[in-house]
Amino acid sequence: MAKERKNVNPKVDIKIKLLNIPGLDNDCQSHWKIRALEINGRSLALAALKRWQARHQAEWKKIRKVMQIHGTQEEIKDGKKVKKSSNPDHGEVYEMRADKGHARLMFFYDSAEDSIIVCANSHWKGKGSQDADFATCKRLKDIYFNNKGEKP
Amino acid sequence: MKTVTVSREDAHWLDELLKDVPLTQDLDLEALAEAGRVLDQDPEYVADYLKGLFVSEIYNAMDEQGINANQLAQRWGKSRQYLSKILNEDRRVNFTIDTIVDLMMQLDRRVELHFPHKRQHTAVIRCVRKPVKNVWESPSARTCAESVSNFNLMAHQPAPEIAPYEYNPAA
Repeated sequence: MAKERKNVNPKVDIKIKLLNIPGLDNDCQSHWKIRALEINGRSLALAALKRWQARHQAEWKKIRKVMQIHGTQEEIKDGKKVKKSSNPDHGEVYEMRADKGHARLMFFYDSAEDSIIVCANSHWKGKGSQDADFATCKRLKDIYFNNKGEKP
Repeated sequence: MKTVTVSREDAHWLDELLKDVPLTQDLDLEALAEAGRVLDQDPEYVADYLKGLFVSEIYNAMDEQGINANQLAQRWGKSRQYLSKILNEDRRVNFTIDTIVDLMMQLDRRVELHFPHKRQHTAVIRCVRKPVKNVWESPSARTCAESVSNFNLMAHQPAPEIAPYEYNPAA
């Protein structure tokens, strides 16, 4: 009796890219390069930025301002602009905040080879769980770093 | 672009996560780039950005010195409410150069103003400390030599044309 063949290769290939953020010039990226994470041709961060630019101009302007500021400063201590996840399980994942607004852009740092801020996904305050979106960012970060052979 | 291998569980999770996200090539990224260029020419936006940069510097300097806003207000001789308005980027508060200089001096910072031509771009020379015989060495002429040489080569090239945004994934 033929044995049922087991899947001997439980792994799957995916394509990862870091994309420039359109309209964000190099002058405001003197400390950190700001990039959007793309997986299999889709980027949650770029899609969110495009959506905000088209439908929520004020929110997009605020997020863009924080990106420009963080690009030139090593650390942002102003909690109205950048905040780390308060859940210790998430580790080093952060959000850029539209002050007094709804838009949040989740990101993590990659300073091993180069100084890069990797924008992973987004959150809209009042819609869905912020903790879940931080958890998504954390999992994307793990995938990103595990494949670089580094500790997340 | 890198092809990487993930577990089936992660691949399935990614499929679910990205199923409603449009392909990057289908996003109108030129419109996003153009909107950014328009903002960079908008005095109100640029002033707002510079205010944000100033406030962020205040927070960083306060953290560096281990003081809070109350202590800074006291040191500066202004009310906590006035400082809060500055820190909250309250639109009703207009900073003067005097305010900026006065406040930053309380935090042991120098203030410099630069007015580069808009066609002038910043080139950054990264000088990263490298380990030498298991000892960390400060940035020196030697560790920066390669960056400086690249910069000099670049400086002698004609200025790049400013082209419209093209879909150009980073390396």
